[in-house]
Amino acid sequence: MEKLRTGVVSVLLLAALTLAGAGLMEQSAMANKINVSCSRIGCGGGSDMCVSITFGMSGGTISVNCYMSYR
Amino acid sequence: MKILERVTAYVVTVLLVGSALDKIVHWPLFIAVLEGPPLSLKGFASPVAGAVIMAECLVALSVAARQTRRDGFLLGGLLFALFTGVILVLVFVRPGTACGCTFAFGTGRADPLHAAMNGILTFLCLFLRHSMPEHPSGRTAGDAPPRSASLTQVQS
Repeated sequence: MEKLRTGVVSVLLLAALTLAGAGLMEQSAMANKINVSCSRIGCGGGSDMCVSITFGMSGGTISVNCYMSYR
Repeated sequence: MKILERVTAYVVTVLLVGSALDKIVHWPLFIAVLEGPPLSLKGFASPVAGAVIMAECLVALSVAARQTRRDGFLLGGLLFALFTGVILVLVFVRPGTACGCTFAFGTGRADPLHAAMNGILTFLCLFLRHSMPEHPSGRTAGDAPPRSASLTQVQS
């Protein structure tokens, strides 16, 4: 029973550490990428509504904020 | 098993302290994630953010200390279960969005792998809490006192 517990904890701990490591690697890879997904960006046509985006960067994290305003 | 308990406790402590420090350093971003969609906690994002950071610190401290480790694993399991639930909701509602978990330290997006990591940590904490003895000495509440203590009582 003790061996089973040890095995379960070892596997879970290894899996958690692997996923945490994968997250760290993904974070560092993301530092060179900018993905913007903001629907209806722009202003024009017959619409009275404008959508603007701002970028912020801090500690390797890029934040994108979308603002909606009326002309 | 004792060594694994200790290693897990240190891993959980490092993860939670790192995550809490990351949130403090990136406080404006954390507030923006809580206030923005789909969480939309406008008006009470700051108290929620403070509570999350304090909960992380509390769990980290209680897991690090040997005397409170068992209860710390229970609290840690509950906290990770809450995080898993929030991430799973975000994965279904808006996959890939920022979850506010971390910013510079690990992944901060709501994706299935992140949910899996938190789910594994939940199970790990609760499993260790279940398998740990009730007292750090190794005795549980229902156990008889040590033989030497019984003999001393009989002799006196």
